Amino acid sequence: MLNKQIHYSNQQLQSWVDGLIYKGKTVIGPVKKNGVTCFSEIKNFNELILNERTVYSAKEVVLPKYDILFKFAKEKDKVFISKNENSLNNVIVIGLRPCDNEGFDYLRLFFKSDPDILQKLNTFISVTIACEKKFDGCFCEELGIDKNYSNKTDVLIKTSENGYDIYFNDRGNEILSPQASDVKPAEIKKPVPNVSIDNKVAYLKKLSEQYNSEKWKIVSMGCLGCGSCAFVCPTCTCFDVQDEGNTQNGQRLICWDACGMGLFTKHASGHNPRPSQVERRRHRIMHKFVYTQDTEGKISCVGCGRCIAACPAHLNIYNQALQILQ
Amino acid sequence: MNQKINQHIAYLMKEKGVNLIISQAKDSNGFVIPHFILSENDIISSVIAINEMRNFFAYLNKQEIKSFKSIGIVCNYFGVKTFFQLKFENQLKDLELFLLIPTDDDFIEITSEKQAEDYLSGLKQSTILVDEELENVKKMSMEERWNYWMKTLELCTKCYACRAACPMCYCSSCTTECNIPQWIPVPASLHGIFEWHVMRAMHLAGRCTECDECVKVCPANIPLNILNKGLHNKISEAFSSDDSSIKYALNFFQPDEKVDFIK
Repeated sequence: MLNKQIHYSNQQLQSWVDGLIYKGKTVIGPVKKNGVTCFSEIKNFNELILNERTVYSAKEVVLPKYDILFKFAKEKDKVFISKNENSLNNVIVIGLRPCDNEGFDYLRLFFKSDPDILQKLNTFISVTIACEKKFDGCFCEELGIDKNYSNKTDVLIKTSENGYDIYFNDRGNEILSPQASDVKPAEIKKPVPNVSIDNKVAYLKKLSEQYNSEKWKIVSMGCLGCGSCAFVCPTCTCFDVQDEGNTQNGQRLICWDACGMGLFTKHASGHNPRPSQVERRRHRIMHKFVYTQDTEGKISCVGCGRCIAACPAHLNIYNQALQILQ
Repeated sequence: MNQKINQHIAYLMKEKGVNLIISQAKDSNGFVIPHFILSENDIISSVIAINEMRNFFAYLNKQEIKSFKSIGIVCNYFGVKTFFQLKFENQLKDLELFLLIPTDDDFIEITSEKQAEDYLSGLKQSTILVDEELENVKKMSMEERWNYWMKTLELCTKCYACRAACPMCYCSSCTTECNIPQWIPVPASLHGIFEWHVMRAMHLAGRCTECDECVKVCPANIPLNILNKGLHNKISEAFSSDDSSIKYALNFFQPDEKVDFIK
């Protein structure tokens, strides 16, 4: 719970972040790389891009595009397996948005029985920035997420007169280590629970009644079958398992995979239960808005709009769901 | 699209049995998107500058779209170039296509290879931007060039949007999906990314129509057009001095071929 608050000037915010790096913390935040805003480790505050939405979501911190599960090596007649240990101790992720936190919240539910990933999700310290404006294609408010508030973060930064109001919980207190005289009890306007959201979630569940609708053919026409939507999505978790190496040593990897691609469901026999983009697009929309309501108790779209920006046809997943329901 | 094109679209649908028009529109965020016209009710007027227009020929690779058989496509110069190349590669056999190219307040219609050739020969599209970037890369030392590509390719996640949006990537089974043997490493490691893009560039050598769709759709902003343009120039040097006579360098075959591997 964000129970305390302090005020920082621009200068203080910068000194704080630079101080964290100086103290040996790994600070990850939105930076520009090759003209693309994405999360990456920073070496000083000035690298941060805090007024844009990243192209790729922050899930990369926990689930990189490919990761080593374990390495194996053969020596004479023995096989040695070494598990890959990479914890997120000492890691601070700065520049998250309220929707990113909802994304991590979903990942915690999804990976509840995977201790390794769950441990990573619960280890890093999150620093969120409230959104002052909407970005192209954002629709988080439609899904009941307040763009100005998050209760799933350790530190929340809001711009105010002459700087920033910084709200934090006990974990946030550790990294901020504020002077006791500066700290005030948090006075933060929490969003009023919105009953219409429950109605909307229930409405979206009605998509399952439209499973055989002819409209899926229309909404899937623009889909070219790439994986850009899944790869920028903060809640897409599908992966492929690959082995690399030879008979003497190698490694097992998990690599991002995407339900939009034809190969995703293709069986070894050659049969494909989702033979065209109609079935693949339907699966994606149904998975985000219906299936995870049953499996994890919530919809798994956070309305960040990244998929709309990244899609070659800029398909709007939320509008398409509503179009099916109309 | 402008009024004259829209009138013609209505005519094509009513009189010519065209049942799908792949048009272009701008969405509320200002992105240029495909607009599928399935009936006259779907016709909308939209204003998109000719150089802002995209190349949506990749949709013809989708079986669901192909099944419409008689299709109209709103496109610009690069669409015509793509049409010409696809015709040459025998990819549009079962389709009846109507290309609609908007002009100031009118349009040009192209339905045959001959018309496309005439249209293309009368125009030369500027490629100054790509050429400049290519020159910059060529000026680099080998080490700098390697670092340049490693840096620009670093963010690739292998989402294959470049392949999906490329009208020339029509293979029903891609080399990268072959796993016996696994030619291209699956993970989006530098090794896997580099081999993927080099392989794709090789397969496009001499065929790329320079529409830059791959660059427009790439979430990671990779300048794939430099790679394609560089190879295009190499192919020109090796096979022809004239751009228009390179049609299919990769598997163009002549009976008096000097090498005999193909026989």
